[in-house]
Amino acid sequence: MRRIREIVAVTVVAGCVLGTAAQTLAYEGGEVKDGGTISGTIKFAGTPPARKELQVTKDKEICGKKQHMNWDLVVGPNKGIENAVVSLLDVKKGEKWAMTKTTLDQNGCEYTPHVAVMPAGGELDILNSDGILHNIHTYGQVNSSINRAQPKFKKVLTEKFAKPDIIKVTCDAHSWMLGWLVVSDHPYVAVTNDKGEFTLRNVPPGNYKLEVWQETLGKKVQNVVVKAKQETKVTVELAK
Amino acid sequence: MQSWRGWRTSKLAEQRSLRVLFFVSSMLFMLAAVWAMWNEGKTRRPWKAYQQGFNRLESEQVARELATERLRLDTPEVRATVAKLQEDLKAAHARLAGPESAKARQLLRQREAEYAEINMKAQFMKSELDEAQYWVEQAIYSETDSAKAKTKAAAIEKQLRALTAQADGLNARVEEARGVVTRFQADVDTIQGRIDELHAPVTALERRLESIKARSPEVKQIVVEGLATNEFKEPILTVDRCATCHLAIDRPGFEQARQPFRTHPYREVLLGKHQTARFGCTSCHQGQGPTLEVKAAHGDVRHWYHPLLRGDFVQTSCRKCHAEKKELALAPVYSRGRRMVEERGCFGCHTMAGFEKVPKVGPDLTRIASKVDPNWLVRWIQKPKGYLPKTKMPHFDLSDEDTLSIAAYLLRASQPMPEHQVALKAPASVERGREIVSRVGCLGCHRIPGIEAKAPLAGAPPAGLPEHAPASLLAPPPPPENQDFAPDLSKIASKVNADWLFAWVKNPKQLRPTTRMPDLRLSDEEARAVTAFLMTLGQKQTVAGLEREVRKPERIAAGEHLIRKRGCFGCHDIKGFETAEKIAPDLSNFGHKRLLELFFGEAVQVKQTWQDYTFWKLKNPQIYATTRVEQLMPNFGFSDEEAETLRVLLKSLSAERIQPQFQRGLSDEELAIHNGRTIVARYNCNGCHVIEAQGGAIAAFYANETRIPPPLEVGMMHEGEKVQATWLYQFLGRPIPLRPWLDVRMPTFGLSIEEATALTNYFAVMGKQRVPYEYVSVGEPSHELLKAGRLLMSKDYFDCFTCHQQGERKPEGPPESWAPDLGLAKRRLRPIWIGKWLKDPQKVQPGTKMPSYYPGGPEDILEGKEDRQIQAITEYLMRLGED
Repeated sequence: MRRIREIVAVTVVAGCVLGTAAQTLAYEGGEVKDGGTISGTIKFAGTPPARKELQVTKDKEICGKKQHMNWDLVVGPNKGIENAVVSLLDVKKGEKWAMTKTTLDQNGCEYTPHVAVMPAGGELDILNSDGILHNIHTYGQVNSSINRAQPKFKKVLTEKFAKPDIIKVTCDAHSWMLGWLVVSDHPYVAVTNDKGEFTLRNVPPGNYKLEVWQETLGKKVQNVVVKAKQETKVTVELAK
Repeated sequence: MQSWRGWRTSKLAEQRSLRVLFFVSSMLFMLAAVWAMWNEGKTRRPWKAYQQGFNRLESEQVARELATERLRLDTPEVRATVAKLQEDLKAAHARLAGPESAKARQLLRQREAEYAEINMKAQFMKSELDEAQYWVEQAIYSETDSAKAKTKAAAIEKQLRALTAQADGLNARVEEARGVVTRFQADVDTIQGRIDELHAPVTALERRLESIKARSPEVKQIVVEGLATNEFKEPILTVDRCATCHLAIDRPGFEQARQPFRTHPYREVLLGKHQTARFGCTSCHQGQGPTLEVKAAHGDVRHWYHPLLRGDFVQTSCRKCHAEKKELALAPVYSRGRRMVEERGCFGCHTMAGFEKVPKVGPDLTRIASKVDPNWLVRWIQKPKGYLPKTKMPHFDLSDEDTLSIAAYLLRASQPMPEHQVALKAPASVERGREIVSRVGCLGCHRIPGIEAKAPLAGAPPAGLPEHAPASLLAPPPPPENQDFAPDLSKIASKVNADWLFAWVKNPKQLRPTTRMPDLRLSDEEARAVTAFLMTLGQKQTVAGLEREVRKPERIAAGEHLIRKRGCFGCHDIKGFETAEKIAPDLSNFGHKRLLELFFGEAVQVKQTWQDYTFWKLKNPQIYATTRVEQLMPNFGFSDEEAETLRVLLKSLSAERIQPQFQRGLSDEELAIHNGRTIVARYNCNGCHVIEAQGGAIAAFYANETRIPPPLEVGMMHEGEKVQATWLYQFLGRPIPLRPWLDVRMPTFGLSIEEATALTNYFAVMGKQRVPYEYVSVGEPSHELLKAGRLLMSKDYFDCFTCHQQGERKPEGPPESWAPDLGLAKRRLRPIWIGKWLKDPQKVQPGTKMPSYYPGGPEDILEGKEDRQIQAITEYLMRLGED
C-alpha cells in the first residue's frame, strides 16, 4: 500500500514538473522588435527527373478536364524546388500567428495547394469545388487518422489538427490525388514557390536551426543566424 | 548374585523392606508420566508451534494496523475533531445534568401525574359504563323497562368520551415533555456515537488482537467426499487437516507472508470456484491429508503413493475435472504440454485419453514415390533435422542399411499419381512464379527465402495486442512462438519432383485428401510459374546406385518389418499398415506409475524418481537401452524446457475415476469456441487474419494496409456480428473473391460440413449472435424510406457506387480502388451491423478505406435525422436488386 502511495506521489510530482516543462517549451507569440528576415532558395542537386503524367481513371468528365502531372517533385527553372517546406526548429518566442483558417480545395480532382500550411489547433476548411464524392483520408505521424466522406452536397468540411505534424492527405475514391498538410505551432514556416524561393519575415534575432522538408527528398537541417533588421540569405540543396 | 540371594533368603518375605524399590519405581513412573504429558503436548504436536507462529504473525500485522490507526487518531486534525467532540459531549452532559433538563424532567413528571390521574378516572368510568350496559341488557332480557338504564348508560358514555379526550390531550402533552427530556440524552448519544465512530477501527483492531490472544490451538479439519471413487464406485472420503498449519490459505492479506502462512495464489478464482468446504485440499494438491507432521503431511515419506504436487505439477490436477478444456488460463504449463502432444503426435504410438480424435500429425505417404526424390527420402529418414532444422519428425537413429530398407518399402508401397489433363510442359517464368508466391497468400503459412517482410506500415494499427486479462477463463491460447506452421520451402527443389509439385499446388486435396494445405485456385499458367519458381530453391543430390538398391525385394521386406517395429504408421498413412496397432505402451495412467514399474536399465546416473525418469526418457530415450532391452522411442530433440512441459502433461495422465458431479464439461458456448479455435489453429486462419486479436502476420509482406486480408475478430470487429451465418457457411465452403483489389486470395480449404458449421458457430458466438436464427428485416419498410435510401446512396448524395460494385455493375477506375459488392449485402451482411458500420466505420475497422459520412448527413432527406437515414440505407441495401 505504501509503495503504491509512493508511486502515485512520484508520478504526480513528475507530472507537475513535466507539465510546467512542456509549458515552457510551448511557443509564445507576441510582439517582435527589430525582427530579421530569412530568405533563400531550395535547389535540387543533380539532374531533376521529368514529371510524369498521372492517369485519371475515373470521373473523367470532371477530373479529366486538364492534364494531371505528378506533384511529388516539381523542379522549376534554375533547379528551384517547388513545394518544399522551410521551417525553424525549436522556436520559443516570436510573432503571434494571425492566421487561424487555412483552405484546402479539391478542384479538378487535385488538392490546391499541394502543400498547405496551418497553425496547430487552427481550422482547416476543405472545399469540394468538384461536386463529386471525395474523401479526406489523412495519415499523420502524431495526429490521429481521419477518413471523412465529402459528398457533393457537402461544400465545406472543417477539420482541426491539434499537434504540429506533417500529414499526408489522400482520397480513396481517386487514387492519384495526393496532398500534404504542414501543421506548425509557430508562424515561421513557408512553402517554396515555383522558383524554389521562400521568405520568413519578422524573425527575432538569434541562432536557429532551419529545417527543409520535401515529400520525396526528406529532411535537411541547417544552422542560420538572424540579425536585427537584416536579411539572411540561405540556399539549401536537396538531393535524391 | 550371592548378596541378592542372601537378601532374598535372609528374611521372611513379610519382614523384607521394599521401601527403596517402591520409591524408585514410583519416581520412575512419575517421570515417565510427566515426560509422556510433555511429549504429547509439545513434541508430537508440531502444528501447535505453527499456530502460535501464525498468531504472532497476525498479531504483528494487526498491531501494525493498530499503530497506523492510532497514528491517524493522533494527527492534529483528528485530535482537534476529537477534542471538539469531547467538549461538545461535556456541554451536552452538562445540559443533561443542568437546570433546564431538570425542569423538563420535572415538567414531564408533573404531566405524567396529571395524565395518570385522568387516565385512572377514565378507566373507572369505563367500568361504570360496563356496569350500566350490563343493566341495560339485563332489563331487555327480563323484559322490564330499560329506558332508565339506557339513559344512565348514555350519560356515562358521554362523560367517558369527555374524559378520554382529556386523557388524550394530556398524553400528547406528556409526549411533548418527554421529547424535550430525551433530546438532552439524544444529544449526548449522538456526540458519543461520533466519537466512537472515530475510535471504531482502533476498537475493532483491539478486539481482534484480544481474540487472537484468546485463541486456543486446535486441529482444523475438513472432511469431504473426494473427487475420485474407488473400485466399487463409492466416493473416497477425504480428511484434510492442511489448514491446521496453512492458516491463511483462504484469507486475503497474507500474500507476502512466509509459508505455511501464505494466502493461496489466485485465491479468488481458485478457491472461489472450488470452495475448500467442498473440495478440500488434497484433491488438487495430493499429499497426506490427515497427518499433522510436516514431512508426512506433504507425503514425503516412503511408500506414500501421492506425494504433494510441487511447482508446475499441481496444474495437472485441473485435468481431473476439466478434461475437455484445452486451454486453462491458470494452468499454462499443462495447457502448453497438451498443445505439444497435439503437435508432436505422441498419441500416434501411445494410447492417451483425450487425443482420440486428433488426426495423425505426419503427411500421408501413400504417394511418396511420385512426390519425392528417392535420394532425398533416404537422407530425410536418416536425419530429418538435416533438411528441416525445425521439423517435428523425430530422429530414429537408424543405420544406413535400415534407412535404405524403410525407403525401399515406402517407395514400393506408393501408389501412382492420379491422371492429370494438363501436364507441366509449357515454359513458365520464374519471376512470375516468385511474384505469385509473394502475393497470393503462400506466405500466410510458409516462409520462403528471398521474400522478406516489408517495413512496418506507418499509421498501421499495431499487430493485435491481446486485450484480455491473463486470468480470464475464456482466454484464447497465446500466439505461437515461431511462425513455422507449414514446411520451410527453402530447399524444396532438392526434395520434390516438379510434376508432383505442379499437381500439388493446383489441387493439394486431390493428391492427399487429409492435407491442411488449401487450394489457392491457381490457373494452369499460375501453377506452372509457381512450380518453376519453387524448383529454383535447392538442388537435387543423387547417390550412385541408390535407385537400384531400393528396388531389391529383400530390402523391401526388411523395410516392412522395420516400419512395423518402429511404428512409422503412427504418424503417417502408409499402405499395408492401415490396421496396425499402436506400438508403444498405453500412457493412460502414466502419471501414477510407481517407481518399480519404470525401467531404468543401466542408467545409474538418473535419480530414482518419477520426475527424473520421465525427464530423461523425453530428452534421450536411448539412455535406458541395454543389450537386452531395446528402446524403440525415437529422439524428439526436446529442449529442457520442452521436456519439463511435457512431463507436466504426462503427470496429469491418470485413470482415476472422477465423480460425475465434479466433472466440468463445456457449456454450449465454450464448446463452440473450443471447436472453432481448434479449426482456426488446424488451418492456420491466423496466418492471414487477425482473430481474437492475434495473427495476421502476412500483413508484413504487403506495402499497404488496404492490401491485407481483413481482420475477423478484434476490437469492435466481429465477423459473426457482421455477416449472416448462412452466407459465412457457404463462403467457407466455396469462397468467392469479395475484394477485387486484394492479391491475396481466400483459399478453398475443402472444409467438411462439421468443420464449416463449427467455424460459423464460433464466429457467431464471438460476435454474440445466435445461430441459425437471425434478424433480416422486420415488417415492410415504407415506400418513403426505401426511396430515401435510394436517394441517399445516389450520385447526388453519398455516391456509394463510385467505389462499391453492385453485381455486374463495376465502378470506374482500376479494381484496386473498388469496394465490396453491395449487391451481396442482403445475403451477406447483418442489417444491424450495417447500421453500426455506417455510423463510424473507423471505429469498427481502424484504417478502412470506407470514409465516415456521419455526423454530417444531408439536411433535406428524412428531416436530416441520422438514425432514420441509416435505417433507410440499411433497408434499401437489404432490398437492392429487387423491384
